[in-house]
Amino acid sequence: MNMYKIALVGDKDSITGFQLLGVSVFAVTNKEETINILKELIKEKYGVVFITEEIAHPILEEIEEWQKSLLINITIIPNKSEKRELGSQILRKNVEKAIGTDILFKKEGEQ
Amino acid sequence: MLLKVNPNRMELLRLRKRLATAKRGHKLLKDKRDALIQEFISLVRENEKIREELEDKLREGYLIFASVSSLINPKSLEETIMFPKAKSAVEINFKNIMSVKVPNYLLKGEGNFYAYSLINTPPELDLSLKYFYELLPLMLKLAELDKATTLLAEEIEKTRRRVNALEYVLIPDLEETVKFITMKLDEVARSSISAIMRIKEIIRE
Repeated sequence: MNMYKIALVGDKDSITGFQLLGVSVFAVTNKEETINILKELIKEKYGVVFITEEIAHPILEEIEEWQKSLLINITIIPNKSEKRELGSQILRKNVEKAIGTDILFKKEGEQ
Repeated sequence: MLLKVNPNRMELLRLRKRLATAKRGHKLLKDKRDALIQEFISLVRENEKIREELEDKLREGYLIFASVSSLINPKSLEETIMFPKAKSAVEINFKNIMSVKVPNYLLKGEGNFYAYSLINTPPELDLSLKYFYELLPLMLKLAELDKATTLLAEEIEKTRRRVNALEYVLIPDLEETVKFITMKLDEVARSSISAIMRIKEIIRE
């Protein structure tokens, strides 16, 4: 069976709630810590890593690179406080790369 | 641009074969690109919808959990969550979309997550846990879609480059070279015919 673990990386307040569900929770505060932990997770048998927006923001490039090339899946989820919409930003970037223009999201702007 | 080849019949035959292959490859890649884009667009739409839903729900979940942490002192909260009994894992299967391997996640939960003292914790904790637990499949779904769109976007870009390279570089080059060699060969044929005619004249005299 291909069983992989799930991990959550983010600021402590946002993610502790998930710990009792049996998800590995890693509380981080700065950029270096995040990168180190993510590198650890890549080496181990983790299938899906959720990372909160605020933490993901400074290392966006690394995340995108890993997301492209590795089995591990790093997905951005919002964190507690503000709304930054990093996840949909990445989605939008992908659309632009694939199709050439941002055809899907234009409608939103017009409305 | 002309390819650097010797203008002889062997080369001509070889180039014609290559041209035929290139044209067939071009058509196939174009079809692949179109199919990929179709798939991609539907995935993106779904992704967008699910992300929005999840973001709202997660935020609500955080609020619920925040109210829990306010009801309990931080130390005993830490104690409570220190040793989770439950185990969540995912089973990964791969789906093939036009030769792009897209993962598919299946949540496998194990054990009961209400593994803490019910006396020392507020009932809101149970609620928030249940809420988060129900959110997990949705999160995995989003992860799946995120990965799929990233991989597909990459593949579409690659395919489009290949299509363009064939369409605007390789095929025109080959066509031009084939034409050049045909003309050269014709030229050689004509000149040898005229030479033979000339020789014939000389011999007759």
